[in-house]
Amino acid sequence: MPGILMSYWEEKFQEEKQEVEDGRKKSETPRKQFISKDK
Amino acid sequence: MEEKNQKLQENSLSQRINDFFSFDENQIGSRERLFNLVDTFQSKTDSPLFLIAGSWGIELLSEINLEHDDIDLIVLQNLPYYLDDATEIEESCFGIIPLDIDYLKENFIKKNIFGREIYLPDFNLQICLKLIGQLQKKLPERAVNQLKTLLDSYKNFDEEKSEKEINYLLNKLIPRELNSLILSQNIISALKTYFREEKESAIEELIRLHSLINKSLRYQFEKRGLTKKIKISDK
Repeated sequence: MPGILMSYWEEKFQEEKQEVEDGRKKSETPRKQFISKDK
Repeated sequence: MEEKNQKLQENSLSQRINDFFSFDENQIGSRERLFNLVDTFQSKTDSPLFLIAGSWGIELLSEINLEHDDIDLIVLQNLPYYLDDATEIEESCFGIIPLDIDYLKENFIKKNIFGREIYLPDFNLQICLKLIGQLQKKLPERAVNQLKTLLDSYKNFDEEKSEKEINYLLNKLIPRELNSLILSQNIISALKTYFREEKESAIEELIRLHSLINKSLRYQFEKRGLTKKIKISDK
């Protein structure tokens, strides 16, 4: 995985965190809908 | 105080793994190094400390031998962290992977390899990382072969669940200008084509989708001046 992508993800993560803190975005994710059956 | 200590301990896990890679004398990316890593860290606990991603993730999942340049890991600490054991600056990577820690802790595959519990990203996450993490304009042959190996070993494909999961992953990992819902539908459609044994046509579609994602990522890198740090291959 190239480092350039990690830099981008870091920025994307920080942006999203800021949006959640500012109340512009809900923090919940829909992850509960796809719990793996492959364990 | 106890919670703070626990967080500090968690967040130092990636550092401790990096230190392990610096001192371990086995060849970079080798099976010996991988097993030594698992024996040093993972064998002391029953819950996953890291998921083994990249080519090793695919080999362990499919049980098909592949070539390996490095060992890729998703470290399950407070902020999930991606790192590998490569030493060349253009190949090594380390940084936050913007996925929910609870998602990663709930969606993994456990395999017992030579008496060791090994934890791997599930199929959908591995497919997404293969399509996103290759920054060449065209998905390289080696990545295509890994993708085919991954799809050939895909078990329990659930169209609805996979579409939701891939949409969640793309939404977190790719630029907002791309419609993650449509892209995830396209990926699911390509997977269904692959499982109908129309493999070449499915791979062509996945190559097209990789190219689309890559183009958008390049635009974001250029906009943010990131391309000055590392050159992306034009191949």
